[in-house]
Amino acid sequence: MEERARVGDGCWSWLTSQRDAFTPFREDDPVRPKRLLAYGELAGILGCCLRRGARGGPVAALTSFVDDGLDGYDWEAQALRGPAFVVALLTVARFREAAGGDPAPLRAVVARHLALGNVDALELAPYRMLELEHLLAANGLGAGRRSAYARRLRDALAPLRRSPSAFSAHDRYALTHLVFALCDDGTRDAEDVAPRRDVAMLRRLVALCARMALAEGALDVLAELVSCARHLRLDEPWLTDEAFAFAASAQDADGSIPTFREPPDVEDARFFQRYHATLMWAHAAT
Amino acid sequence: MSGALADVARAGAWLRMAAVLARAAPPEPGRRGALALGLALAAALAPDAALDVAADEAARALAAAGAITPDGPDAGPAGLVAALRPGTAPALDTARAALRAAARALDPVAASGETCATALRGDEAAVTALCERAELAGVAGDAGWRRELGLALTARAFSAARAPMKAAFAMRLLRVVAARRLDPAARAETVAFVRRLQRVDGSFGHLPPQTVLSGDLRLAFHLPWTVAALRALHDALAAAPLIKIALRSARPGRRPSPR
Repeated sequence: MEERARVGDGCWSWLTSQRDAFTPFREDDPVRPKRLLAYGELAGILGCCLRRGARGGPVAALTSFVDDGLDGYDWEAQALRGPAFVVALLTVARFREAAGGDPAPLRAVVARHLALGNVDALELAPYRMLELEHLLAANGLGAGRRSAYARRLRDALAPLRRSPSAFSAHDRYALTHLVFALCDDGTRDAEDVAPRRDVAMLRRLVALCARMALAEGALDVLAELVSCARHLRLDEPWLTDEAFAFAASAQDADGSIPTFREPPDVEDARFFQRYHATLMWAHAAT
Repeated sequence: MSGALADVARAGAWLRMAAVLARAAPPEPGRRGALALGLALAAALAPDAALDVAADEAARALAAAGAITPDGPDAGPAGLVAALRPGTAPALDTARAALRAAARALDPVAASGETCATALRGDEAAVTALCERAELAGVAGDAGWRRELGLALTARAFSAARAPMKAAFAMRLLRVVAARRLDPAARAETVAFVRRLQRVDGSFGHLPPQTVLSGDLRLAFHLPWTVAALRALHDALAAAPLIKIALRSARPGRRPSPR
């Protein structure tokens, strides 16, 4: 528990110190799309924490930061540029609601895209389509889409019905995102929306993939899998303790946790190498 | 599992071919034992008249070669062959008795957090040593820790197999999980994993693609891989794992437990 708290405190501290780097609303930013993605992911994780009742110091501070920035950006224009952006819009709308704000204007943009058929015409990976369907329902836009949800769930599960020895790195992220969607980020039981047999399969996959990630030192996906194990109510204190001990050993003095490599000449390379894993470990520890 | 048994039969056919070729080649240390064990495993899993004949011939050839010295490479396989084809030759029975004695001299592996951490993150030598002891002497601990050790070994195996040339190490780990019934859910995954490694001709084993083997070298390279794959398949598919069959009656008055 001590290491879990240490990892969490360090991660939130670093994330709080990186508010400038998370800000996508600046002129002539050469890496704005990447920064926008990071901002959206921060909003998504904060939304999860808020819905689970975690509203303490760093969550509150970052929530204010993200919420303050929302109105200074034309989200509708961004969605008109690329319809796939509705996923980010729905994420941000959920965050706004969890933060106590009004998500209606953001939802109205998505409703317009739905009415035009843009959403159903999207071609995303199956787990991303399920995520989209889940977000539509969670934002109150899922009326009449039960059969679409069932179809998306079937499509998302299909690539996972095989031995994890054949999984690619991408498959592991597909698994974690699928579990996050089914469990509504830890606020509902997966069996409320998926057959028990499929949930049992997911529990097995999460248990194995988490251990594989630990064996390989794959810190980023390990953090997501630790959260998945908790969402699926896998009672695995040994795994959790080992995972946090490993994360603690990899954590920098400034609290960040490195994972992805960025070319050193990318602006804010250090931030982009670290923000995702740090965010995921902050979430796992909270 | 009929697909898996068909694949075993293909491996058996390759081993029969290897047995024919081996008659012409000078015996190499370990090759007779591996060949006899591979054929015995294939015959046990996918019974077939031609395989039975080949397995008996290989077992008798192994016993007659005088190669089964206590510390020699054929000793372990000979003990296992004796378990699968009992009564074939006294030399094989002697090797089986030696295997039992070696197992009795070891303490079981204690399934615990420390053991699981070694299985997941220990170096290859430490994990291999852990597997040797677990397979021969068993695993002690409650059901929860045994399953946890099974999960850790399975995960380590799957992770290791993502690196080039580590499939044999992975099969070694999976075999222990199956042999000691540490994680029942891993059996199907083990079968799927091993089957994916089989070549079109029924053999197992691969070097970097630019390395093309031929002739006797090819036989020598693929033989141990094929036997290792068959052992993993046997322990995942058969009612009783090979090591338990070999050690049966090792401790008077004790019957092997089904788990």
